[in-house]
Amino acid sequence: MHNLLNIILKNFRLLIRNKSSALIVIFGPLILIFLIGMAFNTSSLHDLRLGVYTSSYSDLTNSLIDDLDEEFIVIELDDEQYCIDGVKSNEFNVCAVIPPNLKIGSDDEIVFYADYSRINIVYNIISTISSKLDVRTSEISTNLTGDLLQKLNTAKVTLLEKKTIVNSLKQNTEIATTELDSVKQDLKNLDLDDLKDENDTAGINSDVDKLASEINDTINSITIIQDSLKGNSDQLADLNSAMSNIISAASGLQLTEAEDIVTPVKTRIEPLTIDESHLNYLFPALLVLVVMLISILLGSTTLINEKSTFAYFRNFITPANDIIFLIGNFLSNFLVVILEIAIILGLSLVFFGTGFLNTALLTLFILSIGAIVFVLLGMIIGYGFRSSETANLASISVASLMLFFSNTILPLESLPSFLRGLAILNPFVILESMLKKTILFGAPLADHALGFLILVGYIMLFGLLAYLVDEATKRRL
Amino acid sequence: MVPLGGFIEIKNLTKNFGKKTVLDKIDLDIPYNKIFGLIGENGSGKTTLLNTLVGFYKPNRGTVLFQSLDIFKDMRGVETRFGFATQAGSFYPNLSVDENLRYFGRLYNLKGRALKERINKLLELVELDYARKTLGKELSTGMKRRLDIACALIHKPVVLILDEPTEDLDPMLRKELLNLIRRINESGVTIIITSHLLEEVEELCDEVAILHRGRLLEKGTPEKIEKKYGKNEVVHLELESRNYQAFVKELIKKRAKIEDVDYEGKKILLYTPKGDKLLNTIMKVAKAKKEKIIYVSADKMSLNIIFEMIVRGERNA
Repeated sequence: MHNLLNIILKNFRLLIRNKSSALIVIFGPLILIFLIGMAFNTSSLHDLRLGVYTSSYSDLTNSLIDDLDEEFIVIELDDEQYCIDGVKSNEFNVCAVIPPNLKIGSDDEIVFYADYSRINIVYNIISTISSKLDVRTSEISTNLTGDLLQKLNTAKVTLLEKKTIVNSLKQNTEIATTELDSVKQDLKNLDLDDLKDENDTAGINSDVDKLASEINDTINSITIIQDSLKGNSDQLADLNSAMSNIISAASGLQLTEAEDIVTPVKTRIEPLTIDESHLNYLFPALLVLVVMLISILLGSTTLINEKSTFAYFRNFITPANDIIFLIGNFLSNFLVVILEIAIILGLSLVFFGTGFLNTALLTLFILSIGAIVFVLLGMIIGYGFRSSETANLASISVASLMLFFSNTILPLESLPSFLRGLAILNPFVILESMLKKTILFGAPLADHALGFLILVGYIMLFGLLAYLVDEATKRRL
Repeated sequence: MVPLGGFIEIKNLTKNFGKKTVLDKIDLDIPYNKIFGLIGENGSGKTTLLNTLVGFYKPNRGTVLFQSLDIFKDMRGVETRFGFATQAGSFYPNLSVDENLRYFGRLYNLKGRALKERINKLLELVELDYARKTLGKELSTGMKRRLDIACALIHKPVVLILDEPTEDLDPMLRKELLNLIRRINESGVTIIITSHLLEEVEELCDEVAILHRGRLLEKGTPEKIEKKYGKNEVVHLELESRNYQAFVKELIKKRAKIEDVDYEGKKILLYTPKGDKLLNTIMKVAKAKKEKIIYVSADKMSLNIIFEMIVRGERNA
C-alpha cells in the first residue's frame, strides 16, 4: 500500500509536469465532447441540397416542390445530367427528376438519384423525402377517395328516392291487375242465356250469341293484359330488390371516411424517450467513445513514457514487486480517467442539460467499469510496444476496430451473422448498450447483470495479459 | 564486516543475445571495498556485464556469487545490496531532486524520519543540498550524475556500480566526481566502475579488468598489469617525409630492438625494451638519411597504451 501510493503520487506528478501530455490527455477529450455536443445538439439535418429537374412544370410539380422546400434547399435546374452529376460531385445531396406536366394518375415516375456511398446520411435523406412525398400522396389520395365516396353517397340517396316510385309503380300495377280480375269475373258471371227467347222471334238469340262471343274475346284480352301487368310487376320487384341490395351494400360500407380508406391501418411511431436532439441519442456512444480513447491512449502513453525514461531501469532493480508497479500504474491512469469522466458528466449537465441527473451515479459506475477495461487494454499496448509512435498507432487501431464493429457507424444488424456474434461481445458495444438503457430508459443496475459479467471477464483477462506482456517484454531473456 | 570468502565472484559467465555472444566465459573476482574498473571498447560487453551483475539479464551459462550466494537465486539480496548509476541517469527528469530520492527511497521501504535523514545525508555527500527542489531536467550534467549516484545510494548498498560516470564531463567536474567516488568508497562501499578514460581508471581503481568482444583479456591491479606489459617503452616518432617503412628497415639494419610497430595519426609508435638506445639509433639514422624529425619521445607504457596494445594484439589474432 505504501509503495502503491508512492507510485501513484509519482505518476500524478509526472503527468501534471509533462504539460503537453496533460494538455492532450485532460483537455483534449473535454474539448472534443464540447465541440461534438454543440454540433449535434439539434434534431434536424441542415443545408440538405436537392437538385430538381423537370422539362415542364405542372401545378402538382409545383406543389411537390413547395413541400420539399420546407426541408431542403431546392435548386431548380435546366439540365437533367447536370442534376445527376451534381449528386456525384456532392453539389446536391439528392437529384429529383420529375416527369413533364406531372398530373394525378399519370404512369410516369418521379426518379430520385441519391449517393449511397454517403451511407451515414443517405437513409436520412431518403426517409425525409419519403415522408414528405407520403404526406403529399396521401393528401391527393384522400381527396380522390373523398370525391368517390361523395358520388357513391349521392347515388345511394337517389336510389332511395327512386325506389319509392318503383314501389308505387308496382303497387299500381298490382291494383290494375286486381281490378281487371274483378272485371273479368264480372264478365264471366254474365248469363246471356236468360236473354235468349225460346222462340227467337226477333232473331235476338243470334245477337246474344254474338255478344257472348265478344264478351269472351274481351275476357281473353283482359287475361293477356293481366299477364303483361304481372310480368311488369315481377320486373319491378326485381328492380326494387336490386335497388335495395345496392342501397344496403352502400349503407354497409365499413369505412365511410376517405382518410380511413387511404390509410386503412393507422400507425404511429411513439418514441420511448422524450429527448429531441441528436446529442441525446448519441450521448451514450459519445461517452463510451471518449472514455475508450482517453483510457487506451493514457494507458499506453504513460507506460511508454515510463519505459522511455532511464528511471524504469532503477525501478526494476528495486525490491518493489512487478505487480505493485502494474497496479500502481493502472490506478494512476484509472484515477485520471475517473476524474475526466466526472468533469465530462458535469460539463454535459451544465452545457447540454441532458437530464440524466437521476441516473448519473449508475452512468459513472458503468463508465468506471469501462475505464478499467480500456485502461488495461491500453496498458497491454504500452507494455507490448517500445516506441510511442507504434504504441499510439496500435491504440488508435484497436479503438477504431472497436468503434467500427459497433452500432455507432453502421448498425450491427448490417454485419454478417458470424461477425455480429463477435461484435456483440465488443466492450464498446456492451458499454454503449448499458449506457443507452441507463441514460435513455432509466434502466436499474439489475438490468445490466450480463453486461457487467462480461466486462468483469474482460477485466480479468486484460489484467492477466497486461502482467504477462510486461513480464515477457522485460529484458530478462 | 569484511567477508572472509570471495566478495563478488563471477564464474564462467556467458551471455548471448540471439546468436551473438556478448559475454564469453568471464571469470572474475571483485574484492571487497575496492574500486574495480572495467575497461573495454564500445560493445566490449562492459554494460552487459554490469546489467547481469544486478540481475537485469540472466546469463546463458555461469553464475555470479555475492558473498558466496548465487545472486540469481537471491535477487532480493542483490536489489538491497547493490546500487547502480547508469550512463544516462536513472531518475525522473520531471521530479525534483528531493522527490526522486523520496520516491526511490520508498521503493526500498525507507519511511519517515529514516528516509528524511538518509536523503539529507546523501544530499550533503553529493553536494546537492542547495538544489533539492530543482527538477532533475533542470540540473547541470555534473549535478545529474551526482543525483543519479545519490539515487543509487539511497538504500545504503554495499556495492555501487557506476557505468561511465565521467562521460561528457569537463575535467573540473570529472575531478569532483572522482573525489566523490573516492569518498563513497572510503565509507565502505565497493565500487565497480566502467570508463573509456583509462587515465582516470588507472588513477582511481584498485583493480581493473580488460574486456574485448565479450572476453576477459586481462585483470589485476594497474601496477601489476603495467609491470607485466611494461617491459617495453614506446617511442613516438614523427618524420617530415613520413617514409616510415624505409626508416624502420634502416633501424632494424642498425640492430635496433623493435618489438612492435603502430601508427597514431602522423606518428609511428615503436615498442622497444630500451627506449634510450632506440632514440640514439633514430638520431643516427635520421642524420645519415637526412630525414627531418618533427617529434620524437620515449615514454613508459601507461595503462592506456597497454590497453591499446592488448586490444590490437587481440584484433590481429
